[in-house]
Amino acid sequence: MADILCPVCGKANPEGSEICQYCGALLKNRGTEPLAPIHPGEMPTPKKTSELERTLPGWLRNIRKGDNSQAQTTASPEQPAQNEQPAPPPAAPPPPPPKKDEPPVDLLAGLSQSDEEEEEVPDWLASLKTNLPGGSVPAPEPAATEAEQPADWLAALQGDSPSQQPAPDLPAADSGVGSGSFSFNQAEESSQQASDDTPDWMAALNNPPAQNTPAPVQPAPTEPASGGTDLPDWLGSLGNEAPQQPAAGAAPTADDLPSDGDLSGWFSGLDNAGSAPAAAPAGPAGDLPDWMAGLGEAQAAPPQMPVENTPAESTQTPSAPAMSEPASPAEASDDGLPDWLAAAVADKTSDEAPPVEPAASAKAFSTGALEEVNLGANDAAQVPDWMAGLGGSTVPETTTAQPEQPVAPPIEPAPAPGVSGADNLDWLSELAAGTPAPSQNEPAPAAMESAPPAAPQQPAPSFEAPTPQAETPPPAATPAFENNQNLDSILSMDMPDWLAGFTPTETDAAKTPAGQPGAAPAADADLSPASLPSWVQAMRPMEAVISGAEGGEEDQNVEKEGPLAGLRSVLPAHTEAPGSRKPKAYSIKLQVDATQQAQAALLENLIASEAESQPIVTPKRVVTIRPLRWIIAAVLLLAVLIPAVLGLSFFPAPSQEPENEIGKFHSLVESLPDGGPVLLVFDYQPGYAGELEQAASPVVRHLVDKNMRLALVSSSPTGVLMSENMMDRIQAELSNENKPPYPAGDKYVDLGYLPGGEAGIQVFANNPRVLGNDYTGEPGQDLWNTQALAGISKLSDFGTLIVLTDNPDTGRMWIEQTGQALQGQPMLMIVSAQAEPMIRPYYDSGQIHGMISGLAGGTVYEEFTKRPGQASQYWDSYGASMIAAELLVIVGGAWALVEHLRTRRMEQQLEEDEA
Amino acid sequence: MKRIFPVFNAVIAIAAGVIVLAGYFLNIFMLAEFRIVILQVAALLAGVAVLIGVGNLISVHLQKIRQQKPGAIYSLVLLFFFLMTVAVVLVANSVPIFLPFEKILLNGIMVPTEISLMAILAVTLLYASVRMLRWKIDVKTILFLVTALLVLVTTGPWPIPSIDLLLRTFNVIIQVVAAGGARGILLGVALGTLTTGLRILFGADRPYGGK
Repeated sequence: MADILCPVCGKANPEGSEICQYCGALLKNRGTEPLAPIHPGEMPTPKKTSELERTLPGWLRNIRKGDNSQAQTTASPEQPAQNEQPAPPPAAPPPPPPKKDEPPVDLLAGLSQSDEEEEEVPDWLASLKTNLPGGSVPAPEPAATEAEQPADWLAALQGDSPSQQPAPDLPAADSGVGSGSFSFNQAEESSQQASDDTPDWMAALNNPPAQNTPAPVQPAPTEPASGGTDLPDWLGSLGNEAPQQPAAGAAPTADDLPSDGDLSGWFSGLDNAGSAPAAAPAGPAGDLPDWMAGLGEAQAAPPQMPVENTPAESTQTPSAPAMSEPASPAEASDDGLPDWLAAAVADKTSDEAPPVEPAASAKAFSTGALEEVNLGANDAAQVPDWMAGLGGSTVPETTTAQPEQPVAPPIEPAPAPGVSGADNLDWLSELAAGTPAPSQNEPAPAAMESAPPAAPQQPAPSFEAPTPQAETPPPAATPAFENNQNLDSILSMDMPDWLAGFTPTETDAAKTPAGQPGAAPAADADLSPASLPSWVQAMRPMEAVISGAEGGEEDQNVEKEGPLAGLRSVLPAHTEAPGSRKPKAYSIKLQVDATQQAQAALLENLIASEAESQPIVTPKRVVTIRPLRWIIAAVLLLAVLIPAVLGLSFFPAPSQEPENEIGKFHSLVESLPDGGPVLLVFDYQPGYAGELEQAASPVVRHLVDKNMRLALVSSSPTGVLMSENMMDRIQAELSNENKPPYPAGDKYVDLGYLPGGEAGIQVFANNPRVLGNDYTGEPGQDLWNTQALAGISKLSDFGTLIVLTDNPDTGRMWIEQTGQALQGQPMLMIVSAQAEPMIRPYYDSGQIHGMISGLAGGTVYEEFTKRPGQASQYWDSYGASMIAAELLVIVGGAWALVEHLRTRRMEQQLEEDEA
Repeated sequence: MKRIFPVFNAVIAIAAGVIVLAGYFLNIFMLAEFRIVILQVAALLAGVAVLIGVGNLISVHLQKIRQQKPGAIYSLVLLFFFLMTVAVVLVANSVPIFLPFEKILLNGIMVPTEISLMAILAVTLLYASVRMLRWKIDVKTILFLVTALLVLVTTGPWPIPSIDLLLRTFNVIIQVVAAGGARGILLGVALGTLTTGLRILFGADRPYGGK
């Protein structure tokens, strides 16, 4: 007989098997695409799953390959059990290019087929029996012998089961002795250690289960199932394992069971695989075909064996009655069940222990594939060969495991009644069908998942379902442990593509309890291969998003070259050239009008002129003719001195016009009452003293002659000196005339300097008493109590205001600041000849009532007073100098003009000569 | 403080301006008194400014002498006569004997010096007038020279009475023209002063500092 070695567990499977009976691995892999779901009523299509072998992932093939090599090198009867490693799958041949036109195939189904290619049983497998801790203990032979020639190695494995071996025989570290087999408990633990991305069943496949293998795995020999005569031996023994599960399920209590959420869906299905007959009637099995109904009958028969013949009955825990509870819902739904399910339920309930749990907590794993297994037990003609063999071999295997379970662990309750076999996927069904194979070493998945830590000395290579509650001691530092870590590291990698086919719906459907709403959609398990789990979808490239955004793959461009080769829609594609439109033709001829051309020409000229170097025009040197200066000075000096020295009178006195400013000035002074106060402002510079003193002296003398009380003030620092000088001059004249002096304090007071400019004038105009000290008087004398200022408290108390200034601004300032304070009192001005044009407007406007300008004004005023003074003496000198100046200007200008013309003519002549 | 001071200065300036301006038009005693106080403060500050100017003049010339810059000798002469004049005037106020020295400083130095400068100015102006046509001959130059000549002719006396009378009549015409120009200038000054005053009152211009 050519057995097929499982690439995962390394165990031999009967020829023609597609799924490993021990680990449920696909013996031949055809591809990565998930199997198309088999709907109720559909007949399964026989497939050649050997092609699936090539689609196995590399790591899985490596495991297989490594297992073979390691088994050949390390596995020996002398080696301790803890060194045993799970048989890695043999190296798979290089996968052929996937056939895209093929429908979704069963992935794990190929595992069984792959073993067909390996017809030779390796030695290590044969020696597994002796290597296991319980190898010394003879395994119960009935199951192996009665099950139509099971494989030798399988028989040895059964004999290795530590169930009959006392626990002290094995050290604690040897709990992993049975690492050659896969334990679901172990897988659950390793799945917790591994990344969450790894499915539980994958973790179970890659973890050495022996460490966590619960005790209940018993190779107790049981009677083989009645059916399945066509099946190979190992399948016959495998088929006997299925019935043991109900018995094993009686061992654990429902309280000890993990919640449904903790269990992976498929594992729940595996748990229920053993008790599938009890759960099948609860589902809507009416849609199942007849062959599946027969499967139920075939699977229902074996449970009698473990219940009756195995010592599991004596080891049942008080929770065993709970195990019988699933039978009740099965009975309740008996009416709606198909015949085969009804028969299965009837057999199950009659043979098994009392139901343990209500159907609400049961896992729905009554897949169609499982039903096929059941069907194959009775109607092998309608089931694939390998499937048919599964059904018949379950009974004896399960029965052998039952008695060895020392303590009944919590058992997975019966499957939910509401979940039908059609809710499960084919691959899960096949996997479930394979679950009885490992059960030859352990009673049932329920017992496996709840195996207490005290019983891990079961070294039997069991295919235990991973359970979260598997509290097994950590594996010792053995090669098996290291290998387990390696497998974990491999599993922690990104999920291969072929795993994407296992949609969450499949697992969720199994996970979801029957009583939850999630179980209902499982009935429509028409899963699409595209429905990926969320974590797989998260791993998908952005291609899906991009394609969805762009509206289809037709619009996407696949890069064919470069580093982006193979990627799609990573670069924007231009379906149309941007410059496809013919550009408009523009004329290159410049269209400008005359104005623009003129402006352009002007600009061009400007630019050109900037580039041209300009000749440096040297200004004409101003030649100072010093002799001319001396000549002019001499002429002026002579013109002044000659009339003054010689006493010549060439120039007639200016005419007296009473209506002019000088005449009005004189009239106002004459109109002042004698002895009245007069305010005199001396605001001229010493440089203009020669002019202003000649113009002001006749006025002051006139005032003195009128015995006016004079108050002298100056807004210029030098004005004080000018006023003092003026009074000295008057005193001198008086002295020369033998007249009494004009005493200060009595006749006049010098108020001194008035600071502040306009502000000071404004202050003084509003309150003349701000100036309280006499500049020339005695210190501490109150000027305002003097005779000169008697009765003066404000500016308007003065009879008149006479301003002597050479600056028109100063005259304007006094006019503006004191005009209001005078309150109608006359203001008179004695100004320099140069300031006359600027002050005359004020005279013309009536703001000032009289004005004397320069020497000429003084001379005229002397004529009015009939007192010739220095102004009259200087008049001829003044006239002569003016004429001299006029002549100089005329003669000099004429000479300069002639000289200029001559020079110009000479230059022109020179230019002509040069030309 | 950098923000407070400019605002504070502006408030003071505008308030003082408004008060002084209102004092011209409103016959309110308190307002007039307050205006006088403000003006007195301004006059005192102006007097202090003169002293500060004198002090600045002394420091500048002292620095010039100390650094021996070109013309330092003139600075030395200036400072010498400045100190001498101050001393003489201060002493002359208290000691009458020193009064002649004060007169000498005024009538012997200050007045003749400044008058001499005016005489040199007359010679320089005449020289420039004579040479003007030599340097440049154009309409403006000729017009300027003719105008100056007419003013001289019409202002100065002439020995011939008929010509003198004619010229004086002609001078009246010239004075009218001159008066018109001067009045325009005065109007411009008045408008400028008014505008400046309003801008200061409104705070647009702050010659006292600040933005």
